[in-house]
Amino acid sequence: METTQTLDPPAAGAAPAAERDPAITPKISDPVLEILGLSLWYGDTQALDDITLEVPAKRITAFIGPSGCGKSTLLRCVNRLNDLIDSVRITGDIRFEDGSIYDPAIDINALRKRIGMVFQKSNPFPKSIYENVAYGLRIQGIKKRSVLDEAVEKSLRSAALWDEVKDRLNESALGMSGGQQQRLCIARAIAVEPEVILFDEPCSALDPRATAKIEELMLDLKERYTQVIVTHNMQQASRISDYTAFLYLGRLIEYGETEQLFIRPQKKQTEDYITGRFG
Amino acid sequence: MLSADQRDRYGGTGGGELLWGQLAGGRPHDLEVTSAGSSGVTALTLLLGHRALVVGQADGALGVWVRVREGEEGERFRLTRVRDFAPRRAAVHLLEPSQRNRGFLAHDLDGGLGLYYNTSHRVLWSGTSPLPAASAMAFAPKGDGAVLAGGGRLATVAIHNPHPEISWRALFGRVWYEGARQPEHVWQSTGATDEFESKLSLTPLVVGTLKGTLYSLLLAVPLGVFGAMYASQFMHPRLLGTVKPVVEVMAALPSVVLGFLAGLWLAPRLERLFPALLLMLVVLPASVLLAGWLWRKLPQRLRGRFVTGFEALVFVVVLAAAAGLCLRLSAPFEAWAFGSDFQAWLLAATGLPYDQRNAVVIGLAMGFAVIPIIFAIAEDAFSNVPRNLVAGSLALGANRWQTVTRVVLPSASPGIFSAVMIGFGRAVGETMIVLMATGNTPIMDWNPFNGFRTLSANIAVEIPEAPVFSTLYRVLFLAALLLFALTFVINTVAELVRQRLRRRYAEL
Amino acid sequence: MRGRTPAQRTEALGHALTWLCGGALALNLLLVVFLLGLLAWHGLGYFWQRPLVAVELADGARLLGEVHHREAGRPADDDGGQPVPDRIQLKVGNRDVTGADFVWLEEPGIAARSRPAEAVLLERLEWGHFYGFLRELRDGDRLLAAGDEAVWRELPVLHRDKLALRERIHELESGPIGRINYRLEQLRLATRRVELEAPPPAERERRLAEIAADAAAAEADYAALAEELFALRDELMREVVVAETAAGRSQQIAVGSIVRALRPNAMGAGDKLGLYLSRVWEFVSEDPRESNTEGGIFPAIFGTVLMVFLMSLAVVPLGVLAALYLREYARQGALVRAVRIAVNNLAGVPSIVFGVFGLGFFVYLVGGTIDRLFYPEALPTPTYGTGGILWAALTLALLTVPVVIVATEEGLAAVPRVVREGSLALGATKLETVWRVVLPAAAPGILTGMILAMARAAGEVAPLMIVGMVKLAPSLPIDALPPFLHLERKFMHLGFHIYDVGFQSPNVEATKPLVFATALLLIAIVTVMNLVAIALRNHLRRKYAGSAV
Repeated sequence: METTQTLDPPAAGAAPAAERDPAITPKISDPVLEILGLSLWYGDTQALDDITLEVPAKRITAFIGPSGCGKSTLLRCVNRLNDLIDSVRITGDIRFEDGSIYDPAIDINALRKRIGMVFQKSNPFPKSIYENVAYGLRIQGIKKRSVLDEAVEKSLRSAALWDEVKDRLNESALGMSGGQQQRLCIARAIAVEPEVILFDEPCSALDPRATAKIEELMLDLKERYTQVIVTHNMQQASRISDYTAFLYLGRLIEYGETEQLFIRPQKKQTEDYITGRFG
Repeated sequence: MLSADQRDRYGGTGGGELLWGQLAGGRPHDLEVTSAGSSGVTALTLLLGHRALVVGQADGALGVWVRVREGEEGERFRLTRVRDFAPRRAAVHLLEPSQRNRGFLAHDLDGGLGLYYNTSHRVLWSGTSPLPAASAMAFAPKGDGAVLAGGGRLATVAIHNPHPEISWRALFGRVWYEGARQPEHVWQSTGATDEFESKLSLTPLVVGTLKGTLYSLLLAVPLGVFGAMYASQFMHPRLLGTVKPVVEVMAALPSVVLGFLAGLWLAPRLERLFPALLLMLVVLPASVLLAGWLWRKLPQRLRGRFVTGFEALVFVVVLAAAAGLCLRLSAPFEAWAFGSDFQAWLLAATGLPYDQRNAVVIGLAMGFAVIPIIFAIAEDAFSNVPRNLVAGSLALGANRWQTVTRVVLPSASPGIFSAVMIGFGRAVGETMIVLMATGNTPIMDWNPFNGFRTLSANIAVEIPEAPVFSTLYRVLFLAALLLFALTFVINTVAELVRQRLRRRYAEL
Repeated sequence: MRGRTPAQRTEALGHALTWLCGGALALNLLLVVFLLGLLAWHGLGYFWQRPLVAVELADGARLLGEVHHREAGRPADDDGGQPVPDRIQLKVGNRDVTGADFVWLEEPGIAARSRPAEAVLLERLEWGHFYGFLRELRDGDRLLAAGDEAVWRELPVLHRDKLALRERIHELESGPIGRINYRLEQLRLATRRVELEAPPPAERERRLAEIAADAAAAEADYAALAEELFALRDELMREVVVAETAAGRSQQIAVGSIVRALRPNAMGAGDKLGLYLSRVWEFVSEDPRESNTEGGIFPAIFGTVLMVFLMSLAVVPLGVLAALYLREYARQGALVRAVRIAVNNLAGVPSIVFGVFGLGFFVYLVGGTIDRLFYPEALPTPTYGTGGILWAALTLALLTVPVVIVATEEGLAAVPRVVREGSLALGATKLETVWRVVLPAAAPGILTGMILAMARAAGEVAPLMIVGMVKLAPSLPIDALPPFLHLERKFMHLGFHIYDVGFQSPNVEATKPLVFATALLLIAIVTVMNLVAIALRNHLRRKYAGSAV
């Protein structure tokens, strides 16, 4: 973004504009993802404005905020799904394990294998349960049945789905319940052994019992994966996340440990939101 | 100068007079004298076929004269000037006809040479002669060259003129053909002899195309549009679920089958039972109204068994019965209204003859083919009208019919326009039905009881016989291009209208 | 309208107009039902054997035949119109004797009618049906059987032998003799090739001599086979049935030329049903006889199916790739919109225009070039430079490609975006996503498009008249001679068969029932295909209806 009148230009290469205000961006010891001064436009509309935050490894980080605040957009930047939309323009950077994900040399498909994603609405492919889980492995060129069998079972077990579906692996995934479908999508994401899993409001279409199962599953997966969840449900964020970022109108308002943020919000907007005064 | 059949002789005088007479039975008749103007006749020649006389005059004038019959069936002929070419700069002293076609060369005393074509009225080439002092000229037999001689020298000219008989005027305008009484539009591509003058006017075919389209749209537009309106606005959705596939199947019926039924089944029956069709025009709507009225009068408990929106099913039965009744009453009605024979009455009252395969048959058969297309698009347009518009109107106390006419119909009208356009495009290009159910006679009139020939049927009939790359072949390609352009423009307009409509609804 | 308020009046008017609209719809439905019923009635009636009626006219003339049609007359009216009597149309057959198949009889002129049990109907290979009575069975001068019953007893046995013989002749003609003809034709072309290549004289002589030797051998084989064939043919024609027409004229009919001998009036319902089925089978499996006016329509069915199959080989990849590009890869902008409009437009272009294009482009340009490059020895007889099944298939592929594109696009659009994103999020490339997830999900859409295209192609005639159909193709486009699939051959087509037999045959009245049967078959094929496609499409729509994103 160019401004016509720049009185105080930031030094090139220096830390992006949001000087680390300890109040809103805590120091994270071992960040996996670093989002640096990220802005995004859909055509002429700015959806994200200069976001800077770090995502800790093997923790659950939640993005919360009222709808339209840009939290899903931010999430989709991380595995570059926004690239699919023609009119999107991005400035800033996201670093993933010391490399920029916007590096033109990067293999975007390899990146997406390392950063898995679970969507708001469960999206099993119109294939069998088995083929859904094996899909990611098959596109990596793995054909050997025994390897696939093992991976499918392991992933389904990790997703706490194995016992429910082990007798009907060859049936269509479209016949499962909504909660099962969502867990299948998690299993599918796990099967390719990613380092990060992004959850885009994974429970918004599910009933409370299915939601509880997914949350339980996410807590189980915490030891092995870095997880980022977008949710509009503050209870959910407070229940499962370790860190929470509050976004409003495309800006990062506050970011911190979940407990801190919910109990002692630093900003008025955050407080207003979590106490339900708007949103 | 004598014509090839030794029956006509022609002559010209220095006083600008043309002489013409017939030699019948070897005995010369009186010569008839016609004035060609004040300038003296300096050259004469008969074109291929020996029916058109080219006259060159001292002032450079160049005209074509043809014997024209006087009166409808008259025995007398008069030599008439049918065409003038732009005058040459000096007296035309040499004229030479092509042995291939109706072209000729004219040489003037100023050393100018011109190549002309009679039927298309074209000056194919004009310039200076390679041998200005030429005193004789001859065409090569293939028409691809000519020889000039004079003053002890010879000169040759190469001629390359692939399609001299075509000009805009020959294709679309009125042309005064040899033997005709006035300029007219005629399509007659081949004749019995090689000397035949091809008449390649596309106008009668275009008129035929539009005639067939017009009559079929007369049937298809009301049935398609009103049927679609009822289906989308009044009919029970469950019934609509079965009606739509029926209409789609109707759209898929091969036109060759429709053409076969129209030509061999419908046409002979319609010839006998035409009065029944006239009767149906009145009786069918009346029967529907009557049935609807009775339906309303039925006690509620009887009506309640049927869900509303299913009336159409009742109407099917009513209409079938009414149509059967019309067929039964055909003969008595004919006797009552037309004095026993409709065709005789028609001829006496209007002077129109009745052909068995005529535009009414086409209107019915092609209309049948076009209905589903109009129906499908119109139905789409109607049902895309946002429900909240309808609800808004109903909420203001308008009844169903008012809502439809005041809200739905105006909103959907661009869609209906495009439905009609696309139906028009389909009818314009339809081939098999017109090929099989019209007489394929290229006549130009709007009489519903005549046959006609369309562009498409003309292509189908003539292209298998047209020699490759000949003029006829290319004219048929031009006809195809014309059809293509016509439908392309129509469809594009319709599609743009449709897309705009859809965008407008998307905003609502 | 007494005592009605204006509002009531408008409401009444509204009702009336609504009913009229409903009437319009009802009329559409009625027309469809009526048309299908008409076709079914006439088409299925074609195979049913009617009784033979012997008629004696007032003037003493006798006729035998099937009543085909009745027409009501008209009484005299007051204005002096002449009365028109009721008429019946009798199919009397015996074209070789009487010259016409049908006669119209006025009811008042009929003195007596009966249904003689011994009246026979002989279906013949030539000259159509014979109606009459059996008299003798002869082998040259030798009398094999005399009298009605005796001949009727003997005939079936003999007839069975003759049918076997006819089968042998057919095999001989299409097998060994066909192969020799093919060899001779190849040798003729080889000679031409030598002449075209113009090798040095010695070489030339040697090669021509080789060809001549081959040709002589082939000719010798041919002579031997021909002799065998003639002997078989003589054998086939040796015995004759002497039969008598209703008018009393005696007629000799070779047993070998009889297709079926029947006594319709003596048949029970079961026999008639069997006959009905056997005729239906003959209709779909046999070659036509008597320039398409009798026999079966197998070559037309075969030609249609093969052409449609070849067309789908061309149109499906083309249409699917185009739709994939438009929907998945192209930037959605003004250009793609224009392309879509053009595609829609293409669907509205008259089919005859496609035919003209096919003639100019495929036949003369591409085909002519192929001939000059690869088949110079056959010129001036064109090989690919004339209408053929390949060009017909390609022309129809162009005609139907919009159908496939539109249906495939609809199928692709119905695949929810989240499904694609799910695949991409697992690290699949765009190509992998399209190939493994999107295309399989869109398969019903593609299938719908393909079926609709095939149905359209099966019913389309106008363009094919220009680029490759003939009345009567001498051979099928697939046979036992290399290269087995002859893409350059002309072929027969159901739709064209209808046009040709219905409008170009010399005896339209006699062939109309057959055309009805063909039309019914064509309609049945097209309708069933369409209904399947519609069902598939609705299934697809339902499946994704809830998951639109």
